[in-house]
Parts: sequence; C-alpha cells; structure tokens
Amino acid sequence: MLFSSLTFIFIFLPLVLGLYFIAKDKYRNHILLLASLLFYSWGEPKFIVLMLISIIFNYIIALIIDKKRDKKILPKLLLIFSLIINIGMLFSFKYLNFFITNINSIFNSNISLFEIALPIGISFYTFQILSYVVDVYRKQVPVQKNIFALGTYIAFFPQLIAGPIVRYSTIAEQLEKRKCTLSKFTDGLRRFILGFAKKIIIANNVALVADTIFNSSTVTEYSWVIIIIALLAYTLQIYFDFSGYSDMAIGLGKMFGFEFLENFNYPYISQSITDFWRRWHISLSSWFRDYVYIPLGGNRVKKIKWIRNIFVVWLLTGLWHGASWNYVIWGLYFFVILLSERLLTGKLLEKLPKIVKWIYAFILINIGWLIFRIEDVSILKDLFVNLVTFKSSDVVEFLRMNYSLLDKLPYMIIGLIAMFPIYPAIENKLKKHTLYKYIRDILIMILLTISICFLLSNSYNPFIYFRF
Amino acid sequence: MKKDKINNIFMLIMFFCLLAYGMLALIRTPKDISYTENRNLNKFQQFTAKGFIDGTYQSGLENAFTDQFVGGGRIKNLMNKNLSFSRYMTNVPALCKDAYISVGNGYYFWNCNEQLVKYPQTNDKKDIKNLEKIAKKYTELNKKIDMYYYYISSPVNYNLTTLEPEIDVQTFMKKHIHGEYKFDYLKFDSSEELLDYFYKTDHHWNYKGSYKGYKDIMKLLEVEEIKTPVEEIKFDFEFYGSASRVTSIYEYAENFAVYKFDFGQYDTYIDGNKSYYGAENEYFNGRYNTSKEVNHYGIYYGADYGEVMFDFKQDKKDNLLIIGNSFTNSVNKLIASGFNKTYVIDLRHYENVFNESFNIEKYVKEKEIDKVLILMDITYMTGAEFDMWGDK
Repeated sequence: MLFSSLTFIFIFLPLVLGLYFIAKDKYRNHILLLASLLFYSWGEPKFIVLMLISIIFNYIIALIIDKKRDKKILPKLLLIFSLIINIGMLFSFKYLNFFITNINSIFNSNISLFEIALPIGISFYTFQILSYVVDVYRKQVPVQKNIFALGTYIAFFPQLIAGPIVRYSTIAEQLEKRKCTLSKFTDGLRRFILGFAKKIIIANNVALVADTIFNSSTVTEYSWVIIIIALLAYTLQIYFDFSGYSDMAIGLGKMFGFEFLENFNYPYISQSITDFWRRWHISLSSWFRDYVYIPLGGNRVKKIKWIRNIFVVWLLTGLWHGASWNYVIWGLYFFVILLSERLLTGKLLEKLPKIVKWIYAFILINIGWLIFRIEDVSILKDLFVNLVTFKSSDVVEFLRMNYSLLDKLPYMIIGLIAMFPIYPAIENKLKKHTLYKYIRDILIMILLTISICFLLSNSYNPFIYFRF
Repeated sequence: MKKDKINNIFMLIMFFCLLAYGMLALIRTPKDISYTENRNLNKFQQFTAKGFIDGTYQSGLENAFTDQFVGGGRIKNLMNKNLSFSRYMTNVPALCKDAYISVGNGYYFWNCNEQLVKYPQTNDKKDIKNLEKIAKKYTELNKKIDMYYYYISSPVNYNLTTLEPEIDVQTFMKKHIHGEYKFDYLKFDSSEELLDYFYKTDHHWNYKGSYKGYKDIMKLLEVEEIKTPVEEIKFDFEFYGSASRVTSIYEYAENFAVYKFDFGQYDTYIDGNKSYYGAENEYFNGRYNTSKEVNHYGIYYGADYGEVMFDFKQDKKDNLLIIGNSFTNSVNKLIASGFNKTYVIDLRHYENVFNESFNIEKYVKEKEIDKVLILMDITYMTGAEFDMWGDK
C-alpha cells in the first residue's frame, strides 16, 4: 500500500486511527502491528511471511544474546549469525543477480539469473533489525521481551517502506509508554499533509519532465539545455519524493504518539558536500556512521585506514541504493568529494562567499543525481560528454513533441522555491498569532484537497475505441 | 493553550469532513460508465483470498475508489483542462506551421490547431508480430471464403509532415496475405485531403470520408448501384469528438454534418432482436442533445454491438458479412442497401453478447454469406482483441 493512494487516506488510515484510539493502551501496539502487517501484505502478500520470519528470528536471537551475556564467545557468534542471515537475505533478494551478472561478465560464464522479486522496503527494515540486534549486543538498549512490541518496531507502517531508518534506541521507551495528545496528533497530521503535498503536487509533476527526457530512447541526442532541465527536474523529484515520504512517516508516527528523528534538513541549501550529507537522508548516513564507520575505527586510526573506512562507507552507501554500477559510482563520487573537502578544499571553501559555496555544492549534488538516475553507464558517459561539450540539438522540435511539459514548469518553479526553508521561517515568525494558525490550517487542508484531486486526475484513463 | 486547543479541534474537524466526503464513494450507488473517459467505471469487488494474494483485489479497490469518488469525473475533467495552459499556446506559427504540437495524453495539434490527432507511434515489434499472425490466418481464409479487404487510412497511422505511414498496410498486405482476395484502401494525395476525410477532434472518418469509403467499397464488392445523397445537412451544433473528450480540449470543434440518404424499407436486428440502428430521424427532427460530451458520431450513425443485421429483403442479391469496428457504423447501412442481408460483427462485443468466440467459417456457413468484407483501420489490425477465430 502507498500513502499516496485513496485506499490509504480514506479506508486504511481512518480505520487504524479509529481502532487505535478506541483501544486501551496495552493493546495499541498489537493494533499497530496488525495494521502494519496488513499494510505490508497489501503490496507484498507473499513476502509478509519473510517479514514475520525475520521478526521471530531476530526476536529469538536478541533474547539469547541477552540471556547468554555471561558467555564469552556465544553472544558474538550469535551476532555474527544474525548479521549473516539478515545481510544474506538482503543480498539474496537485492544483489544476487547483480553479482551473477558480473561474474558472468568477468569469467565469461553462463550462470542463470534467478527470478526474484525485490520485497518492498527490505533495505529499510533489514537495517532497522540490524541496528536492534547490534544495540542489544552492545548493551546500548535493553532486549525487547514482548514480540508484539518488537514486531511493531520492525514493521511499523509509517516508516516501513521508505524510512526514515528508526533506531531501536529512539523508539524503545516509546513502545512501552507514549503520550498521544491532541496537539501532537494535529502536528503530525499537518506534517503528514505537507509531505503528501510535496510528493503528489511537486514530485509527481516534475518527475514527468525528468522521465520524459531521461527515458527517451534518444536521450543521448539531446542538447545540454534539455539535459540540464531534466537534471533539475530530477533533483527536485528525488528530494520532494523522498523527503515527502519522510514527512508523511514522521507525521503519521506523531499521530500515533511516536517521535522520530528528522531525516532531511533542507539539503539543497548546503554549502558543501559535507554539509549536504548532514542534511540528506540523515538516518542512513548516521546508521553507516554508527554501524560501519565507527566499528572500523572511524577517524581514530592511521590516515590510510581512515581513508579506507570512508571508502567502505561510501561504497556500501552506493550499493545500498541499488544493485547497479551507477550507484557504486555515485557512492564513490561522494567519497572522492568528501575526502577532498576534508583534505584539500575544505579550508578554501570556508573562505568563499556563501553564494559561491552554494553554487559549488548545488552543481556537485546535481552531477551526483545524474549518476544516480542513469543506470546505463554508457548513456551516462554520453550525457556527460553532451554537458561538457555544450552539445546542441533541435530544441524547437523537442518543444513541439513535448509541448505539454510546459505545464510542468510551474511545479519546477514551486519546487525551486520550496527547497529553501521558507515555511519554517514563516512558522517561526508568525506562530504566536492565532489568525495565522487558522489561515495556515485552512491552507494545509486546501493542499490536501488539491493533492487528492491530483491523485484522482492521475487515474484519468480514457479509452478511445471502446464505445465508438 | 486553550486557543491552541480550539485551533487543533478546528483542524481535526476539517480533516474529518474531508474524510467523510471521500468515504461517500463507499456507500453510494456505484456509477457504471464515464462518458468523459469513454469507458466502464471500476466498481468495488468482493474480497477473495486469491485476489488478495495475486494483488488484483488491491489494485481493483484503488481503481474502484478513484472511479467511484463522488465528483471524481468532474475533478478529472477540471484538472486535465485547467492545469494545462500549454494547450492555449499552441497557435504560435513559428512552432506549429505544418508541425505537431503535443497537448498531452498522446494527442497533438496539427498545423496550428487544424486537427487534434494522435501522433503515429513508433512501430512496436508486438504490433508487427500480431499483424503477421493475423496475416497467416487471413491467407487460410482466402482459400475458403470470398474475401474483400478495405483499409481506412486514418491520420493516426501517418506522419502528416512526411505522409509516411507508421505501418505500411498496403505493402504488408501484398507481402503477407496471399491467395485470391480483393483489396482497396482510402487514398489521398496530401495531408489536407486526408484530414478532410476525418473529424477535427475525433478519430473517425467524417461524412465525406465515409462516403468516399462507401463508394470505394461498393466498387470493391462489385456492386454497381451506388446511393447518392439526397441532401447535405449541416447541423447548428458543434461536434466535440473523442480527442476532445480525452484531452478536455473543447475550444476547437466543427459543426456536425451528414449526408442524408433514402434507404427505403428494411429491418434491423441488433444482437438478435428487432430494433433500430442509429438516430437519424431524431436528428432530422431536431431531437438531439447538444452537450459538449455527446458523441454525435455514435448516436447519429449507431453504436457498437456484437451483431447488427440489416435485412433489405432483396432476395436476388448477395448476403454480406462485414467485420470491423466503429468505423463501420457510418457506412454499414449504406453498404447493406446494396445487398440482401448484411451482418455486421464487432469482435470486441460479440463474445460478451453471444457467450461464444466468433468463428468466421461457422458463421459464414450458418448465415449463408456470399461475401465477407473486412473493414479495417490500423487499430483493428494491431488490436489483440480482433482475433476472429474461436481459438483465443
């Protein structure tokens, strides 16, 4: 199930909210767990079994680790076993065919690929599970003896499919005791609606520009102007889509009384790539920091090992995003830039005017998104060549064939404005005024209404030849 | 704090009102058809475990919800129209002269709003494979039945700038369909001539195009008697065709016009029942709906049915079977007037009406058909549902 669907807004959410708030406190986790399992099985009816097995397996492993702490080796072995199983599962579904394809390519072999569908959200919930088991092993969190509570943490529908990656330590106390208040609920509702609007109104519309151009079979023939437009559109699409989902997840969590950590902090105002990665998908970068970078030694090792540590983190970050070489290149692209900022350009950057720093960061971020978007490395190479050589093409013909893309320009402009923290600035300045709050809420409801209208119009499916 | 509480309650009330409105779709009497989108609307289905596991229940529920949403049709129309300003800027000569300008949904204005057409798509390998599959079957049929083929060259298959067809049907026929048969097609020498035969905002041929086609067809069928129009009638209302309804572009149209004929006495049977086909008399007597969304082509000439039979009681003449789609609607009666009994089959509906697949050899034998006319446009040829043999 998707948040951006009428089924979710008008059936699932009211039903779950209704049951949740009618129920006594002690049953609320059960309701959330059942709702989350239904939510997941709605989109993946077959893979729900995998999720249940995952919950039960990791529940048992963590219990045993906790019970056998007095043993020297057993807890570690169990942890390793859990890592192998969890990562192995992720590898099998997400990376096995990529691995086989590359083996075939290198060794000229003919190993058949497996027909495996990728379970939705597996990257997210696997990382959540891993963080729980590792934190139990490290004694950073108490083991969860209630399987329903653990299941709720792992499968909790607001953040199950697209994050943020919630650490167990963030949520442990809230699973046992949380306060649902009217203001928390309505704050969550506002956050959810704003995320919903970001996704439906901005992301979905600018996506049409990016997809029309990048998915074209003649994309490598397009001029640098058209590629830049597509790239800007994609930059906006990925931000508003992903941060929109995070907003919806955080908002929904709040409606049920949970407080999640922020996942995005206006990343496109960054003044360096280092700054960017403190603002973009914060839950992922902090996960890699705490579970890969620091265990490898972080920056408390010799320089060469430190570089190795950063390299491993960014290699894995790239791979986490997808089983394709362009994601690896994307991860390593940021490795090079981050290293460069730490060792070479960082001090120079500090001296530059803010606008120059912003332009520097924004260009590099966009180049990164080009690498991220184009899975075919040969097409990627051609597009780069077109950009650097300022290749020209028939823009008039492109405009004729894609005239209706002009309709999407306003959404790009809205996106370019909304990527700056204007709303928080207004909110901070005016939140003391009662009239502002009413106007704000009316506008938010109008946004929700417009978003629903967009959802409806996306289902517009005329059939020419049916009746006449 | 109290002010905040009131503000939050206000927010909640608005939210619940919106939820309640949306949930009306679950309780109201479901609608059957969308006239704007020209299709049946999805309805809420019963839950089944099988449907849930294979995902069809879930997609069906979402489709039904969007289709049955109260005011959904109007909202879609409004969104498609009002959120598209580019459609109002398609008349820039430097851009649009002898060129296509896209308006979304696969539609384009041709030559500065002269015509609203679909742009010919790049050859799909599936289309060609399907054509070749059909060709083999027609070749077999040509050995057993007296077959006639008329191809309606519609703008959807031609690049109007170059007049190159996307799928060259004439060459295809020569190359892949063998045996004894007769073939002809709607000819044109320029894009102006081609477009003159078709509605400005509809994919069908207009009265000029269908009459030209009728004359070609009668010559192909070796029938000398050709009906001439009694009168050319231009109604005082505008016709907004399929392209308008899809794109919600209602700013460009044309007056609906027809040729009036004297058909004499005949009986009509629709799906086996005696009936009337079309609404000519109603139109001539001024009884018509002039709303923008009315499909005058379908209502005036007649709609699509599994089987329509015209009995002109001319025992000495041949019986004819016409197989086609909605393009036949404007010519079937005209053609039938030159025969004894004429059966018109639309394969998209035949099976639903008669609960059996259409088998042409069996049908020809049962109805004592002398000649079979395949009246095809490019969508007929590339549509998978137009498999006339009972072995789908």
